[in-house]
Amino acid sequence: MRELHTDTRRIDEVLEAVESAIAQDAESFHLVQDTQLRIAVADPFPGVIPRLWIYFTIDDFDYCTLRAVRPATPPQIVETDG
Amino acid sequence: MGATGFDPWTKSASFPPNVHDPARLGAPSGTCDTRPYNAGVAQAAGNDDRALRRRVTRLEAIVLELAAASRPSLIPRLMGNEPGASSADVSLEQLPSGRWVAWGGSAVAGGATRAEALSSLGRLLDEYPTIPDEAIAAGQAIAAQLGLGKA
Repeated sequence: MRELHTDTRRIDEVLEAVESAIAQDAESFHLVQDTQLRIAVADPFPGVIPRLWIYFTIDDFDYCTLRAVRPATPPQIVETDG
Repeated sequence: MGATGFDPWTKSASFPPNVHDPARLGAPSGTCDTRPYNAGVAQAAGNDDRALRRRVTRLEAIVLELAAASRPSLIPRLMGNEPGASSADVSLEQLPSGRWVAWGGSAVAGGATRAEALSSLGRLLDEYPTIPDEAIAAGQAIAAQLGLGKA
């Protein structure tokens, strides 16, 4: 997560919102063409957190799996735990 | 409607059923379809369908944003009866943390208030009327890595 942004609390809030939306309405998110992935575009804190592309799959009636989170634009701050 | 020949008023299975209320959208009577959302049909409809749905979503977000700013009491009526209900493609929900999330199509936005979440959603849809090609390409690369190609 720190590769996306140092403010992990904000990132958590973003993911909480996305998870809630997916949990209620997963099929409303668009399929990525020729894949099983669906995409969510999140923009919760303009200028603070980069816009995110979040990819997930609908595994069955009860479960979805978040597969990847990518910044839509290059992150302004890049830090790693190393 | 473009290369796919998609007609939103007759090929409506890719929309949530309540989008096709003729009283709300002015569709000719007899063309509404209340079949459940069908993701397979939505995928087959292609880019024209996605662009159309996102435009409808953006309009919904603008209407809700205006209502939130001017007459907050209208929101429950526009959204259904209470938070959590859906209107067309836009949904609004309060999270356990107290924050609000609004989403429509593939766009998700959060905010401390309903108006803020809706405003963010409207802005996001203005800037991203369709899913960027880069996002699709990135998703296809991820799918290739994970073995999640088309089933």
